[in-house]
Amino acid sequence: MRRLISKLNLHRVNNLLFTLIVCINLYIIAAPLVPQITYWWNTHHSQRQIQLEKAIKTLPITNNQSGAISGPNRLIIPTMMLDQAALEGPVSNWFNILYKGIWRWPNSSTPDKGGNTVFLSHRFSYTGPRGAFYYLNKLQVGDTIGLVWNGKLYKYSVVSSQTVPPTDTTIEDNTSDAQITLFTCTPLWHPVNRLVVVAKLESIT
Amino acid sequence: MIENDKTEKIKFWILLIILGLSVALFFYLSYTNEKLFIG
Repeated sequence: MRRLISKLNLHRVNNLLFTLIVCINLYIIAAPLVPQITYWWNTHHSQRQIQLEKAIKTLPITNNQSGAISGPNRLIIPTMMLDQAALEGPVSNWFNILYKGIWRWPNSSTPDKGGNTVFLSHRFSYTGPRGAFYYLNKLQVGDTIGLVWNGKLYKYSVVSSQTVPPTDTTIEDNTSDAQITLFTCTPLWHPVNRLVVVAKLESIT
Repeated sequence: MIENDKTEKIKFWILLIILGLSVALFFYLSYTNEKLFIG
């Protein structure tokens, strides 16, 4: 090791090490801002949100008619730039399903039956299936949610967004009105509560 | 000149240690808080 060091141009090596240290630490400092920058960029300089808004307006679309929508049951939320499959599965397999994306709580209703349809997902990443609800906190009252369910499009309008403790299971209770409930963990840094968004049915096409 | 070399050697070891700590911090944060570091 000492022989190797004696052969190196230490001044250059030190400059390189210093640059590496600065780059790594700059990334560590900037990393918490990356999701917000990505979101800002996508909402201001990307066509993604507009495409999803158009997709909701122009539906129903079968799987083969549009590249934007595939799979039988999908949640489309332009505000969150989300267009992802809503998965089905038993409670016993919850861990694996949630790692693949959005899961419809099996004990809840389905859109075609009315009542309360509950969807949940992780926020482990700001892109990719296991971070489907990363931007759930961006949803505001009045925002539109599209749900493609068995070939029909259900449009919902957000009526509330609130934080509840994980012990509050009333969010899964059935309702007389047709609605969807979306929930995930919050806050991001220390997810001890549940962020719950409720949207009421507006139309079916 | 010898003093210079010695200074550069000390700098080298200090920088190497800081780099090691930075990399360790990066992986620690990636592991414990993947929300921020995995896109």
